Amino acid sequence: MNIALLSHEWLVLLLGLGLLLADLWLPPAARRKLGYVAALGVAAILLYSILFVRLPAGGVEYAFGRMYILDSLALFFKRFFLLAALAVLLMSVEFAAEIQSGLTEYYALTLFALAGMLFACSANDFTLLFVSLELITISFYILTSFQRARTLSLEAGVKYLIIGALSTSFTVFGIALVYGTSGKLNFQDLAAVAPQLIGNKLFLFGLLWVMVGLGFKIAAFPFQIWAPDVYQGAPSPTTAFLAIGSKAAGFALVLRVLFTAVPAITAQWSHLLIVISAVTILYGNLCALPQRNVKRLLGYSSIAHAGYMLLGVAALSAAGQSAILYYLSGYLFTVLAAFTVICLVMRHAEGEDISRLAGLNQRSPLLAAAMALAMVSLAGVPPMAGFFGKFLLFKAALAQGATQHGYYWLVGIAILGVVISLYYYFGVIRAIYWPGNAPDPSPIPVSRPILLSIYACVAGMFFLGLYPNPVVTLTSKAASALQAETAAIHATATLPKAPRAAWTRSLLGPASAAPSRP
Amino acid sequence: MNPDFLAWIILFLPLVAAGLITLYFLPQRKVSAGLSTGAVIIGFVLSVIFVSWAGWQPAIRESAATWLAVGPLHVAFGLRFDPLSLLMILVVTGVASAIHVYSWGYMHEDPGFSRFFACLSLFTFSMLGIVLANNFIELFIFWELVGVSSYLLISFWHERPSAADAGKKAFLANRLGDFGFLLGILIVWSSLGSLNFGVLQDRLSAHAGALGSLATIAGLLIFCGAMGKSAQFPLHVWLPDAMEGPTPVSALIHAATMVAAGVYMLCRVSFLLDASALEVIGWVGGFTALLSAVIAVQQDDIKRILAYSTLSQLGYMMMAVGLGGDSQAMFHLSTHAFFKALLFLGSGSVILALHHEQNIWKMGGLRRQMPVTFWTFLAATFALSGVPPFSGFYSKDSIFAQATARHSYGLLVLGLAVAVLTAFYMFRLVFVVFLGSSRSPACDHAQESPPVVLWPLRLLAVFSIIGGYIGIEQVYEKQFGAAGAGHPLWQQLLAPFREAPIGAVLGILAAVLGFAGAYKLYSNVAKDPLPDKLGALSRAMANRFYFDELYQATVIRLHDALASIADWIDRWIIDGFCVGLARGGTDLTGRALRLLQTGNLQTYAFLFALGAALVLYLVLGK
Amino acid sequence: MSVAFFIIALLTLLSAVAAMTLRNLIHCALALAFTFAGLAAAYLQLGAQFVGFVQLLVYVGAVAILIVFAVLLTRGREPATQGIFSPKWPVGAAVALGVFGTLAGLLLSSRVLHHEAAAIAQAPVRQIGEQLMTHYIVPLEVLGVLLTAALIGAVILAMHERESDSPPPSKT
Repeated sequence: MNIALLSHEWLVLLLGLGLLLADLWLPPAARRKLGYVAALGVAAILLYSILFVRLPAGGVEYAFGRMYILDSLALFFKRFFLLAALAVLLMSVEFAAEIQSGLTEYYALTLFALAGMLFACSANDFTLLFVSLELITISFYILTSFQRARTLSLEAGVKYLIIGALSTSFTVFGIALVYGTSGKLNFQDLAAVAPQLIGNKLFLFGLLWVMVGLGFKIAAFPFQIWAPDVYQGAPSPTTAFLAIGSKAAGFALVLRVLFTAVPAITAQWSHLLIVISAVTILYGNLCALPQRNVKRLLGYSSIAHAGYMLLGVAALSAAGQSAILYYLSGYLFTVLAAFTVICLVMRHAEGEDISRLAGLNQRSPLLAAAMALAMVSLAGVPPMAGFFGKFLLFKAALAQGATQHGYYWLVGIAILGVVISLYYYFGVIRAIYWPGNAPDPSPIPVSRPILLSIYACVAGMFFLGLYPNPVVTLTSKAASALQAETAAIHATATLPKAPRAAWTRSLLGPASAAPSRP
Repeated sequence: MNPDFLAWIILFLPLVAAGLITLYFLPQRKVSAGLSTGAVIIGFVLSVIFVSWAGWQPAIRESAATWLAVGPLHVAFGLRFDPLSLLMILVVTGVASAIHVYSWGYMHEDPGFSRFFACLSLFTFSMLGIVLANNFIELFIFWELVGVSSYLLISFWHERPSAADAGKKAFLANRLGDFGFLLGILIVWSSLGSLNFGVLQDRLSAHAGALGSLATIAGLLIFCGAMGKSAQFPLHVWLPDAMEGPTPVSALIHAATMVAAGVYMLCRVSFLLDASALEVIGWVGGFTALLSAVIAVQQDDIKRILAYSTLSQLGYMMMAVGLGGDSQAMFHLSTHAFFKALLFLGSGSVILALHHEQNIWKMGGLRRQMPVTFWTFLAATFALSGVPPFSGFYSKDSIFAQATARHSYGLLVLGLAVAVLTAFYMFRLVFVVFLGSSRSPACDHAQESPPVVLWPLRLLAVFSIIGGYIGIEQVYEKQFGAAGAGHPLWQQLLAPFREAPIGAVLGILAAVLGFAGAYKLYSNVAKDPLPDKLGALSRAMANRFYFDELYQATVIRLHDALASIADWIDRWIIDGFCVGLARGGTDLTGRALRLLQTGNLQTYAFLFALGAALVLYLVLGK
Repeated sequence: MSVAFFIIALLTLLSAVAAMTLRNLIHCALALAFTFAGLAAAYLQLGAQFVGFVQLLVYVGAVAILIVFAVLLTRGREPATQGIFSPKWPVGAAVALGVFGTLAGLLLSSRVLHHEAAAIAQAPVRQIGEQLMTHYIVPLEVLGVLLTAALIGAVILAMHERESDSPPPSKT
C-alpha cells in the first residue's frame, strides 16, 4: 500500500478543496485570480510529476490490491491531463466574466474532473473504472450547465446528464454481467480467465455494454449523438476540457480494458472495431460539412477524430496504440489552441457563428495565425502535428492489412474523411483571412498567461509535426506497458489472487442482474 | 568537445532570423536587416571556425539525429561533413554575407525591406540545408524550400505582373524537374533500400550493378532535378525571366547559389550516375553552354546578358560533371560564385546609379563616374572570360584539361567555342556600358554608389582574382580522390601550363579572340552593328531563338488543350455528374443525419439504445 | 421455484404495470415503491440478504420518498386530464420487449445456468465494511469526491435559480 503512488491525485484533490476553502475568506473581486492559483498549482504538480515521479525498475507498480496501477501508460496520461487542465484553467480565467457566480466552484469542479481523469488512467479494476468515470461525468454535468443564464448551456447540461446516465446504466450493467460470469473485477485476473469465456455470450454482452459506456465518453458512433449539442452549449473552457480530457480518459480506459483485461476477446473484434471506426469518421465529417457554428463544427470534428483514433484501436497492435497516444498529444495542443481562440473571440457574443471570425486577421494576427494553424493541424496537413498522428495511425492500420482486407477499406475511408474535412476546416481559415467587414473591428486584448498558453500550443503543434521522434519514443514506451502486462499474464496464468471472499459472489447471486441506477 | 554542434547552429541561425523577422520585426526595418545580416555573417565566421577546427578531412563524417523511428522505418535528419559540403558552406555563407550587406544599400528605399530580408534568410537556410543534407529526403525537402524561397524572391515586387509571372514560371519549371527528381529518388530507394548518401555509396561500391537496368534511368531522372534547378536546356527558360527579381536576389540565387545546387547535387551523388547518364549530362551541358552564349551576344538588357552568361557557365559545370570531373565542376562552381555575384552586384550598382535603367544602349562612359564599380566589374569580366591569372581561367582550364584527358574532343571544341563567345559578349558589355561616350543624360549625372554597396564589390573582386590558386581545387580533389599534393602559391599560378598546356593555351587564345572581336565591333559605337551584319540570325538570337514562343506554341498550347479538356471533364463529368451525385448524396446524408440530430432528448436516448442493440447484434447476432 | 416466489413475482409485475398505467401520479409512486419492495423480497428469497436490505432501505426508504416529494412539489397533484400514453408508446414497448428478449435469450443460452449453484455464503455487514475500508478504499474515496462534486453542483444550480429572479449582474 503505497500512498505516495497516488500523489498526483491527492495533490489535485487538495488543490481543489483548498480553492473552495480559500473562497470563503477572499473578497469576491479576488476570486477571479483564484484561477491563476489553480493553474499555478496544476503547473507545479506537473513539474513535480516530471521531475520527481519515477517508475521502479519493473516499470509498473500496484496499489490497493492491484486495483490501482502506475505504469508508463498511466504516467503518460497523467501528465497529459495535467497539461490539458492547465490550459483549460487559464482559459477559464479569461472566461470568468461570463460566469455570474460560483467562479471558484467552477475551478474546483474542473480540478475534480481532472482528479477523476487521473484516477481513470490508473484504473486496473472495474470498480475504480466505474467510480472514476462517474466522477468525470458528474463534474462535467455541472460544468456544462454552469451558465444558467444561457438556455443553450442548460439544455446541453440536461442532455448530457440524461444520455450520460443512460450510458452509465449500460456500463454498470455490463460490469455486473462481467463480474457475474467471470467472478473477476481486476483486469489482470480477468485476462487470465477471459480466454475460457470467449464462447460465453453473457460475458461478451457484459463487455460490450462496458464498451458502450466508454464509447459514450469518446463519442464514437453510435454513441456520439450528444456531442454536438453539448459542445455547442457548454461554456468554451468546458468544451475544450470535454474534447480533450474526457475523450482521452475514455481512450485510456478503452486501451486498458481491450488490451489488458480481455486481449484474447479483443482480437476477435477487429471487424466490429473497423466498422465503428469507419462509420464514426464518415459521420463526424459529413455532419460537420454544413455547420456554421464553430463549436458545433468542432463537436462533429471531435467525433471524426475519435474515429481516426479508433483506427489505432482496430489495428490491434502496439504500433496502433502508440499512434493513438501520439495523435492525442497532437490533438491536445491543436484543440486547446482552437478553443482558446474561440474563447477569446467569442466570449461576449451569443452564438459562435463562423462569420464572427471574419477580420480576425486584422484584429489580432496572432490569434488568427493560431486558429489557422490549429485548423491546418486538425485537417492533417504537414508539417503540423495532425499530419504525423494520422500518418502513424494509417501506417499501423495498413500494417495489419495483410491479415484482413477490411483494414485497407478502413484506411481508404479515413482518407476520404480527411478530404471531406479539408473543406470545412479551410472554410474556417477562409473566414479568418477573407477581407470582410469584421462584426467588431476592435483589437482583442490577450493577457500574458493566455499568450504563453497559445505560444505553447503552437510550438507543440509544430514540434510534433516536425520532430516526432522524442514523442514517438515516449508513446511507444507507454503503449508497450500494455503489451508487457498482457505478456506477464500469459506467462504466469496463476497470479496471486487478491483476497476476495466467496461471499462477494453471493451478494448478487451467480448471474442475477445488478440493479441499475435508480 | 564535439565541434559538430557549430554546424547545426550555422544551419539554423538564418531560419531563426527569418522566423523572428516575420513574427516580430516586420515594421522595424533596421532590426530585421540586422538580424538577417548578423545571422549570415555569424554563420560565415562559425563556418571558418568549424572548418579550421574540423579540418578538411577526406574521411566522411555525419552528425545525425533520429527524426523518426517507427518499427523498421528509420529516418534520420543528419548533416554530412566532407570537403565538398565544408567548402560549400564557406562559399554559401561568404557570398551570402556580401550580398546581405549589399542589399542593405540596394534595397534601402523599398517598402518591403524587412520582408526581403526574411526571404533572404529563409533562402540561406534552405541552401545550407541542401549543402549539408546527408540523405535524399532531407535534400529534397530543402530543395523544395529553395524553390519556394526563390519563388518568393523572384516575385518580390509582386505588384508587377511580369515579376509575378516570372516567379510562377521559375516555380513551375523547377517543379517539372523536381517531379523527375522525386521519381529518381523513389527508384533509388526501392532498389537500394536506403537514402543515406554514405550507405548508398557503400552499397554501390559493394555491388557495382546493384541498380541493375534502372541505373541509367535513375541517373537521368535525378539529372532532371538538376536540370530544373540549374536551368539546363530545355528547362532553361525560367532563369532569364527570373531577372525580374531585385538585383541582389539575382546575384545570390541566380548566380552564386541556387542554380549551383543542381551541379552540387550531381556531384554529391555522382557515384549513382553510370556512363550513359554521364554522356547525356555532358552533352546537355555543352549544348546549353553554347546556346545561351549565342543568345547572350544579342541581348540588350544588362541583367539578361548576365543571366544567359550564367546559363552558359552552368552548362560548363554540367559538362564537367558529364566528363567525370566532379572536382573541376565544383571548382568552377566556386570561382563562378564569386565573379558572377560580383558581376550582378556591379550591374546592380550601375542600375541603381541610373535609376533602374537596364538597357545597355542607354549607358556608356560610366568608367569616369563609377570607378570602383568599373574596376571590380572589369576584374570579374577578366575572370569570366578566362584571362590568367584571374580565377576563371584556372577553373575553366581544368575543365578543358579534363575533356582532353578523357579524349572527348567534341566537348572540348564546344567548350572553346563557348569561351570565345563568352569573352566576346562580356567585353561587348564592358565596352558599351563603361567605355566610349555617354548615350543618355542619366549617364552624365550618374554617381558612384554608397560604400555599403561598394565594399562587397571589393571583397568579391579579391576572391575573383585570387580564387584560382588558393587551393580550392585541392580541397575538392580530396573529396573525389586523386588528391594532388599541395603546391606553393607560385606553382599553382603556373599549374595549368605545366599540367595541361594545350587546354591552357587554347583557352587564352579563345579569350583573346573574343576580346579582339568585341573591340573591333563595339569600341566606340552608338548602336549595335551586329543586327545589320547577321540579319535574321541576330533577330533570332535577340529573341532567344524563340524558345518561349516555341514553348508557347507547343507545350503551353498542348497544356492549354489538356487543361480545357480537363476543364470540360471537370465541369461536366466530375462537377456535373460525380460531384452532383456526391453532393446530392452528401446532401441527402446530411439531411438524413440532421433528421437524427433533432435536438429531442427522447430521440437521442432512443438512438443511443438502438446503437447499443446494433453493437450487440454485430458481435453476438451471428 | 417456490409458490412464494410466484406470488412475489406476480405482485411485483402487477405493481410495475400499475405504476405505468395509473392516472394519479401519487398512486403511481406508491405502486413503484411496492415494486421495489417486491424486488427486495425476491433478493431475500435468493439468499442475497445484503442486497435485499439495501434495496429495502435505499429504494423503498429513500428513493420512493424522493419521488413522492418531487411529485408533490411539482404540478403532479391533479390527475392527468388527457391520455397518459405518448403516441409513440409502441416504440417504447418494442424496445422494452427487445431488451427483455435479448437478455432472456442470452441468459438461457449462457453457460451460467448450467453451473452448479455455488454454496451460499454468508456476507455479514461487518465483512463488507472491512472490505470497503481496505480493498475498496480508493473507489470509496473517489465516491466521496464524486458526492462532494454533485453536492456543489446541486448548490450552484439552485443558487443560480434564485439569482435569475433578480436582474442579471452587469457584465464587466
